[in-house]
Amino acid sequence: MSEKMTKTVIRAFWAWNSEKEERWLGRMAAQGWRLAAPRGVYYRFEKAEPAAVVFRLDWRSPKKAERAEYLGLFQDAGWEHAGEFGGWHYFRTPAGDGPPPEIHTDPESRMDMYRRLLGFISIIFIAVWVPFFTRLTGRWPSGTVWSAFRVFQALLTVLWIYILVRVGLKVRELKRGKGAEVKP
Amino acid sequence: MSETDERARRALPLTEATYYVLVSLVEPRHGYGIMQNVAALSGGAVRIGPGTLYGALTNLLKQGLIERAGDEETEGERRKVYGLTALGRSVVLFECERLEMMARIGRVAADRIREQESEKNGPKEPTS
Repeated sequence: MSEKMTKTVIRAFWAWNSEKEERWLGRMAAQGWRLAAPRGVYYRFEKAEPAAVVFRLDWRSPKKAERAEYLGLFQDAGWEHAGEFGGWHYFRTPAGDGPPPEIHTDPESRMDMYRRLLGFISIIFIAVWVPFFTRLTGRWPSGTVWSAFRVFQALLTVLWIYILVRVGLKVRELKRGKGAEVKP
Repeated sequence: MSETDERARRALPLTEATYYVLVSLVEPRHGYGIMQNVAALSGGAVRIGPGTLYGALTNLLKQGLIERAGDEETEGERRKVYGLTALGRSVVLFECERLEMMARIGRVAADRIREQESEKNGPKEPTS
């Protein structure tokens, strides 16, 4: 079997399930696949020595001027910026003996993160679907292609609402202090 | 009561992380300095992660409790320095007073509970 130097894995994650993604990226690193670039719907990995690495994801879209400040804090705290996509920042640090290090050390800041994400998703939802909804009431061209298009739009709308609800529930869960994994 | 005092009272209560960031800035520090200071003050018991810290700094800047106080350059690394504003200083004073009062009241209750426990259980150690 020939050993490839890089590999691409098609994979996306639900916004409310970022912890699962962190664990998976850690397992990839343990198998010798170093994250080279997250691209939203796929990841690029490079072959490397197997390493015990902790991944943490943060969602934030810092303004250009504050970007150095933001990344600088993580760097000072010992986190390497492994890449970003769509506001998700991938940070990694070598795993120690103790409990895994955290980038969010209180439930409030995790809740804030999901709140910001919820706001962002809502804005996109409104921006993308307002034209669609206004057309619903207006005239639509007939024909198979357009019917298929409408079905597709309807499915996407359902998906988007599902995402909004799940992220909203995540915020509520953290608000009630059930963010068990971030408790000190 | 002055207007600053009133605004300071309105900023209370602070989250735990925000409180530690704010009290650290009684001397101007950069982000890394805040993390180190909080760990040192609490004997390592309280750690503030960079995600939480960035969020706290952003919120405090927005609320006008802290301000940027220039840059500091050490070993080629350029870091932003933050300091308390007048409003931030009042908030620290008010919050400290509030917490002291709460601790004082809590201590009275805690002493009474210990008394009740020892009356109930005798001299042996309380079990959970």
